[in-house]
Amino acid sequence: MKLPDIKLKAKMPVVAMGDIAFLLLVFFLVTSALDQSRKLEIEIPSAKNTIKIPQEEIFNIFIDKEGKIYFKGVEKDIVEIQFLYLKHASIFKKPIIQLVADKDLPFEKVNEIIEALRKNLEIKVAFSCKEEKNE
Amino acid sequence: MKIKGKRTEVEIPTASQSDIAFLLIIFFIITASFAVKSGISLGYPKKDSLPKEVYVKEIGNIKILKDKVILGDKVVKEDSFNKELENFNYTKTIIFVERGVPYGRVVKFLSYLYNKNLEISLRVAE
Repeated sequence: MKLPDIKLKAKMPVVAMGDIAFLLLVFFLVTSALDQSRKLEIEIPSAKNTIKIPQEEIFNIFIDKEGKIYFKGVEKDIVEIQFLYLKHASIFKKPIIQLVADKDLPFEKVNEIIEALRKNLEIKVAFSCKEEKNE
Repeated sequence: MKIKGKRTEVEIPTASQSDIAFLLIIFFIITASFAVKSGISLGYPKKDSLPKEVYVKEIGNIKILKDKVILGDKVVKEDSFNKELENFNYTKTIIFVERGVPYGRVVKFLSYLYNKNLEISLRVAE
């Protein structure tokens, strides 16, 4: 006896895949942080023997080639930075100042900021740099 | 007279939606750059804190000038600085940086000193 030929229409459910992909997309957009040094055209130096800087209690200061200081993308002067750091230090127990400065900036400009910030309290400074691979 | 109409199933084609979303994800992943997380960390005391008493023999001076580096009393070539550090037997060091020396250059030398577990004091020479 010949069995009847029943052709089953097989369909893959792909409707939810779009939702998953968009959810992933939203997740990446929400969790990612903008790299402000790129926007400000700051070329950070590279060095060997760097350490990973914990990003939890970080206070980021960006300094461009001309010595202009930026905090959260806005230009600030030293006094404003001093005030903002004091506020930051009052919230966090072990704050770290992360200096993202241009490699061609004269060091005395960086030192000026450090001196201003340690006027009132002990500080920990992280000079951010790219990791140079060992040959 | 009522016209008998055939009911057609209306469907929005969603199959390509996931392709678009995945393409967008790939675009963001490729164009994104990771935030800076590595660096060299130094601790600074409060400006008006009392100076710490140390023995002079424990301190080794390093001078970073615009065109040369002086390790102790010896002018050292930049590419051999790391090697010369092996003979630098001090526990503390004061780094004098000449005005006008680029930040990148200071960071580079600091990174060499980082492995030596030295107590570093960084100053800009007046």
